[in-house]
Amino acid sequence: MANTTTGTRDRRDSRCGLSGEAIVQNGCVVTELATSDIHNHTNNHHHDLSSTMHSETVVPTYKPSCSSTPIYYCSPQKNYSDMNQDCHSLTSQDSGIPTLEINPPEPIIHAHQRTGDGGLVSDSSFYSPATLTLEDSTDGNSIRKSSTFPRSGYDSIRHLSPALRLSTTSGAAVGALNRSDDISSMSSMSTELSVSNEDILDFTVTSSSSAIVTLETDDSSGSHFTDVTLTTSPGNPGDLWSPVRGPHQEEDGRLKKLGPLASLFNRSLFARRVKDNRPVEQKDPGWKLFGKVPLREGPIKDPKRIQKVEIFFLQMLTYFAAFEVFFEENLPKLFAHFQKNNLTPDIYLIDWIFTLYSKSLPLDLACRVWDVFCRDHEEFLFRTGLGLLRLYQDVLSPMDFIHMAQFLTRLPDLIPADQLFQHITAIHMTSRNRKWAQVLQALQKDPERCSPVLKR
Amino acid sequence: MEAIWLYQFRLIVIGDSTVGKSCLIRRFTEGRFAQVSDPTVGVDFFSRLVEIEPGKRIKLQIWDTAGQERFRSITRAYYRNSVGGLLLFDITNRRSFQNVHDWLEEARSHVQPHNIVFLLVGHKCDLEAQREVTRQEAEKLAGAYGMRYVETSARDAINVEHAFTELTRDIFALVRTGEITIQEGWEGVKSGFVPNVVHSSEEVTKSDRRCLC
Repeated sequence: MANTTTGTRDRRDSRCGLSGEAIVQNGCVVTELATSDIHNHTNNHHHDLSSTMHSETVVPTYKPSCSSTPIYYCSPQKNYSDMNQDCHSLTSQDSGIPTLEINPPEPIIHAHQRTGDGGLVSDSSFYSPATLTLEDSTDGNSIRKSSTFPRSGYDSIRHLSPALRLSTTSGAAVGALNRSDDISSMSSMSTELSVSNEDILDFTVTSSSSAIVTLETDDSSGSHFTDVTLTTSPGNPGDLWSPVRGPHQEEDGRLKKLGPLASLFNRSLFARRVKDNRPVEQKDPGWKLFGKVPLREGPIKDPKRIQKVEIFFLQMLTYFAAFEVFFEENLPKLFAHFQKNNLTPDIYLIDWIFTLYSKSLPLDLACRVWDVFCRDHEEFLFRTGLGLLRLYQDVLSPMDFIHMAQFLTRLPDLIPADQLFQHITAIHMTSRNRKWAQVLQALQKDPERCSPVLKR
Repeated sequence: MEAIWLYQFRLIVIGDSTVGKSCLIRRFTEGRFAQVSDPTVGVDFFSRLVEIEPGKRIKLQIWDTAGQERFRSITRAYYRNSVGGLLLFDITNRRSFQNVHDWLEEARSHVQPHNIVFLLVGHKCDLEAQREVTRQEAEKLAGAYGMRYVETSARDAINVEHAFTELTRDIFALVRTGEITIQEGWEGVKSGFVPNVVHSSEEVTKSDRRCLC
């Protein structure tokens, strides 16, 4: 009586990491992945996050495992059962989001596993920043279209170039490590990269410094980040977040180059762990009311921590609404089908966007997405989402809710990279002559129009 | 493969992060236990048919929510369209038990105007040596809220079937007595009297005949 869908499509199951099926690759370069599902290539990759805590110049260490014994996450729960409970949930949160780890010193061992996703794109050239040129040559227009966010020209390129090299440097490492697309791989990768290349520090300091800033301000009662997030001034399309600058202007400036969403990630997500150190605020009697409190009144009535989450949530809804505008524009039939089935974008977009596709796409594909993300900012994440929907339009359109939801939250192992990028390129990021930033801005001015989740 | 079900119930699984929600569901729907499990981001989806009486099958659509607080704003929007829920805590983690009350409060305040049938689940009961919550106090708490209490282990496959089928039976009983009714615009319970096609994602040629207005 078992449902026919489970297991058939979910071959990858890397989240689950069935150790019994895994073949340990011992960190060897795996360029010819078997296309069969029989071989699940696993890569065991020990990564000591605690070392990055203590020193910024630690060279990442790869200790390929030679045993076929599955390597588990150190379950915080089991190893630290008598630790402060908040720390416990804190630790568990960390691996959920690709981020720069600012853990309390604690060894984390990752088991990277990815089942045979084909040798399609194992060529090392895919790891090079050539992605940009590639897309440039296929469709120059798309580049221009996608760049609705003003860039600071040379400065921006200079700033981001380490990140581009990042994918090159990591290419070797990643190639050697096999492609692994689970979240932890990305989170650990960003950590590795942040310490393995001096140039990259410029890039990564952005995130870590913002997290640290939050750390400092969080303990004092006047966390300026809360205010920053609240004081959005949608007047300037190029500066959607246009935060009131606190004393940490430099960090803000840097963050902005990565786009509003990136800053949002940094402030609201990457810094979350710090807030969780605080005592059980969620027991405050007022917190339940939150969803009903208008955005602007939030700060006065509710605990700060909840506000941030809530405000972040409302901002995400704006992004989802903007996504839907372009979804309808580009794929009207599929959009109608989704609507008919009450399949709202939060159901699949959270998984895609929060992890920057590190969970949903094979790492080689994710790297290509990140390349353009660094240049085009968050718009490209949503464009990638639309490209995925376009690529799988024919597969999705006969499905019902649960099958679509399952399909989208567990994308196929074999995603043809070139086809995906062709579909991404084919997505028009204009709707009624408005570009992404303009649509987003309009929605931010009128939050009533943009709550797909709350409307249900 | 075709399967006919009487009803489809949408269940939501909630509880603190790392209590084992995803592992419990995977054990139930896929029959296996994963030693390594990544944190759920947002929500995950599972489904399975349950035969509560000979010939009477219920399709369970299970929403596996992220336990992490950062996703709370999103996941709380999913209560409204659920008819049942498993509220998990980890018997080796006292805090997760203490938070049961908050989870219930949150669910109750977001499920209106509908109701949600909850089952309290003390998970990881294979780790008896590390137990921090006694069965008695958990039963007492469940009783205070009018819930059943079940102790499960996804690793050792203890009571996993039992937990889901008991909840399904309870909901089914309420549907039969008319206390829970199928409503337009509510996804909690769907009728399956018209034979429905359960098709896997690969069978893309068949069209979905259900009307979900």
